[in-house]
Amino acid sequence: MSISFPVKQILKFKVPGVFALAILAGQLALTGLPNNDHPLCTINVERPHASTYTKERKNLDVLKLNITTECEVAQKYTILNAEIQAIVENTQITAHRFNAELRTSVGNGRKKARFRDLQVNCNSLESTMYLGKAWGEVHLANGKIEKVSGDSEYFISEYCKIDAR
Amino acid sequence: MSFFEECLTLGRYLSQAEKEALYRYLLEQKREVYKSQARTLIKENFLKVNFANGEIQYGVEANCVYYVARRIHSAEFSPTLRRLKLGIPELLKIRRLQLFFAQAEVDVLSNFPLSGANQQPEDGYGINAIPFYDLNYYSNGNGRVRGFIKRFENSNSEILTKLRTL
Repeated sequence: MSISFPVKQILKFKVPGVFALAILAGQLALTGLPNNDHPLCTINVERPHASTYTKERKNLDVLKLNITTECEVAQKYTILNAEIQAIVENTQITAHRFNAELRTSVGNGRKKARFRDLQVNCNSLESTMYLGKAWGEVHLANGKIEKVSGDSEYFISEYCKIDAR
Repeated sequence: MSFFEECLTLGRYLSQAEKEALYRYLLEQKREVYKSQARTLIKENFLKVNFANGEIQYGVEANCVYYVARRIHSAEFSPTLRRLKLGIPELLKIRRLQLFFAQAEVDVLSNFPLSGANQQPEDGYGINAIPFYDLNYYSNGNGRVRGFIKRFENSNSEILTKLRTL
């Protein structure tokens, strides 16, 4: 005797329209609408470098850290904490921590904020390995706040040793 | 050219230590000017001041002082980034306004300096997020008590002496 499955009947099974709508509404209530307006902000922390401009103009040795934040939508401003890490006697230390800084946005569409004046005095007689690090918040034009963080990826040697404070 | 005059041209090349010293120097030197400005602002809720290459417009709203600034002859003002709650007694209001004026002038000085030999980057308006009149500045947001101690450890007295004498 052969066994047959009621394939036709299974395929023909229909969910009542109201019931299907209720399931969809329940799922939306639980997971929310697909979030396409979530903006992505990125941070670019450049490698710390000795400033030739300040050396020429002020005859001062300074180590500079340039940072840019960029979003897919307009931002009002970015608040950042930044620090320069160094390798001293085979140990990674925080050589200098900058005070929290705020920059308003610039450029087309006001999507970028640039930090180009973070600097610390140093002594050009000695070379040291440095890494830049930053973290903070981007305040978007729509009122939302995006957290950002990043670093300059790898340590690089500069002929400028940060003076101990 | 005095050291103070040189500072007026440095803009973005002012170090954090120089800004701190300038704040203290301005508070000291312009005490009476700030007092008279404070009285005007309290009376009229509005005050316009030019400093370095910038124009500062102060306002008072709901017992809070704020400012907006722009480069002289430019159309666009900075957004309102600083606000300070004023107290009720007149003396406290004047003291707080003096601190606020000095902070605003240092902000404007570093963004809109007088033209000089230094090429200024075309960046947005930039300030230190925590003002010098808040002790949290000296501890970088780690509390006023720690800030109070650190303030005396780091007095920038060398730069301040340079501002007073050179």
